[in-house]
Amino acid sequence: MNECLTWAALSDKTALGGSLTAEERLFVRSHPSGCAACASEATLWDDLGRVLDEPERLTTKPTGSTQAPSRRGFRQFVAWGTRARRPLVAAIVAASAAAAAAAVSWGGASDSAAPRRLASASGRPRSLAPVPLGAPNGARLALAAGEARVNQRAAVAGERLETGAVLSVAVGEACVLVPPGVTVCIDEGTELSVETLDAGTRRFRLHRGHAVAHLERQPVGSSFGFDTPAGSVVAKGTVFSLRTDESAVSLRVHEGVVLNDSGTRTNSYQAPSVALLSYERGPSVVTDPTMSDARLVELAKYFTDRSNGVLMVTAAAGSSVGLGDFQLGVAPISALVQPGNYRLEVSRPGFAPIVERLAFEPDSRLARAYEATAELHTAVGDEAVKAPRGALSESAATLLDRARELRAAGRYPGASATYQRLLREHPGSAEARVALVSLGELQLSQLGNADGALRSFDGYLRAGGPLRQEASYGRIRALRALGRLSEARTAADAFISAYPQSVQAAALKKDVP
Amino acid sequence: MNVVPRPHNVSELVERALGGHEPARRQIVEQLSRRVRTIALSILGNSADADDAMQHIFLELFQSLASFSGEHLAPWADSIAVRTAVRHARSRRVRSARDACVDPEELSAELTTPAGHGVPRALVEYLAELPETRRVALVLRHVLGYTVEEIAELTDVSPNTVKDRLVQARAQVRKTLRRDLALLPSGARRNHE
Repeated sequence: MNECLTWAALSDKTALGGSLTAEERLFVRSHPSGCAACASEATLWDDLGRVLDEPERLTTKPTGSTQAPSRRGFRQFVAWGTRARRPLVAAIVAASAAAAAAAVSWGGASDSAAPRRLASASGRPRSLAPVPLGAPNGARLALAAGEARVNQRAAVAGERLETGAVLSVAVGEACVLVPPGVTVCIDEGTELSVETLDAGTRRFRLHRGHAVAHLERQPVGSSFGFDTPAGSVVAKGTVFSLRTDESAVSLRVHEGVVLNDSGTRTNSYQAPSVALLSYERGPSVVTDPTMSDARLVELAKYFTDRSNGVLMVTAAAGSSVGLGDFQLGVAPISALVQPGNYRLEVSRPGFAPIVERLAFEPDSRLARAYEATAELHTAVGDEAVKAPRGALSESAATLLDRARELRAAGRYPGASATYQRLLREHPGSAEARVALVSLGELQLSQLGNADGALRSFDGYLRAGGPLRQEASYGRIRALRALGRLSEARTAADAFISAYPQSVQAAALKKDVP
Repeated sequence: MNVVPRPHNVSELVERALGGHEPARRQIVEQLSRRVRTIALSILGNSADADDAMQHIFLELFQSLASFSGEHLAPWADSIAVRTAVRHARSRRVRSARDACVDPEELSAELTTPAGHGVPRALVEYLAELPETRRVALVLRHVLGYTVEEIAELTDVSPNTVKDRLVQARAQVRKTLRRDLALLPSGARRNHE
């Protein structure tokens, strides 16, 4: 967050025409590659700067053939392609001819040339095509990562879940496709069962844990929902999450509208909203219902009815499996994959990643197994290609970019290793200095390595630079995490007097240990 | 084949258009329409209003054509487009009322497909949420690339006011974007600690 504030300030400065130092420029350029929020913002400003050349950047790009409408009912269905433009151009020319003639004959008196109102060529609001009827009934497991079980047996992607089947996840994640157009994902500690798979009323029962459902627009008369201790929760086209510990149920609606029928009344919840549906057994013990849906939403949007190949990967415990840019989860893993060419990457902290190119034909099935020795080696599988060890000649910028990519993908140990390699191989570079603060944040926030974080922040502060404020604040947090409260207090006092107006100073004042 | 020769330079094009030569007028519209509509859409925030405004912009543009004396039509058209679109925005204050009437059931069917570039909603929606003065400043700066001083001149305010509007606009867009990322997450939250 601290780096983000700095980035935003520097970005604003640039936008106002201000100039930056070389190090600031480097920071502005490199920070977004490790921070998804700032990356999105950078993309937004960048896109805005290109809309004159590429007007389609102004409007949502559909991923399918149908123009996507707005989430908020803001109905600009802008189809500004050639076909949409031609009639408007003709109309304008016709009108302008009349106006020009009027202007000439009336001496250009603009108030005399009342503009003719022309038919708008813009698209009328139109609905997205619903998922076609006739998709096969039934539910299929799309992802089993870690310890996922169906009816107490190890779950495998592709297997069908019949009515009454119980899916549970002890460690990792699992997703289920419920055609047409519904994907449900769950994570650790969750158990659900399939109540009915009738096309009109498909229902799961969420016994405990956390589930996210992503629904494409459903055919008329068809819905999907969960039975919960707080009644049914039903939707027709939306993204929502439910979390229950059997005594309370929390609902978070990310997109669209969800109906909750408690048995005595029906409530409608429109995105964005969070609701606690039941207090029946005392105060809610649902924790943090707003914060941790991101991963499951990501998964639920990834798997679709078109996912039909099966990929199975086994590897040493703690190995992460990525397919293309998407992080599938932890091994052992089985997943449904859409046809196409992919880059499979299996990584494990302390080992070089294994990378393999895979081509999925429709309904194909590929199995890979890897075991860890000094490096991760392919044990089973055809044409597996071991990842080349990174060449020493890689530039500091390349390493920094890669570390930030790994961090953005949630692959923190890999990111840490890459930052450290950058520090080792390019110790005097500006990238290495920036990396010290990023590494410190990573060690402190994600890797539980306060000791290492303190060394990283101290390293940066010895050299100095524009991230001094962030490094100082990180150092205080690291000292606190290490229990060195007296030093932390002294450092906090120094920080508050050096940066009295900063957000961090306010937090420190409020949060004196 | 009957080929109508196109004018070689801007002044010739303008001359012909002023003389009522339809192909010349068509050429001007075709040359500028993409740019002008982008400006209108940026400022007005929705397609229907942008199309309406575009017609007004071109009408005004052709009515003012006699006063054109430069070498490039685009910068001259930009200022007309900005002024006309702003005027159009002021005359249309019904958007919020229209949004309030959206049927929730219909909404549920109209899901946004997030853009592939990491921004959860269309740029035009972020612009539409800004107050008019900030939106205009942002569009002039980011879309059209005017300097702060040029924007001040175009909008009849001081450079400091422009700076203030730009900073406020960027802060508002930033806040909205981050709220969207939290609500429509794609891994951003995990990495934005």
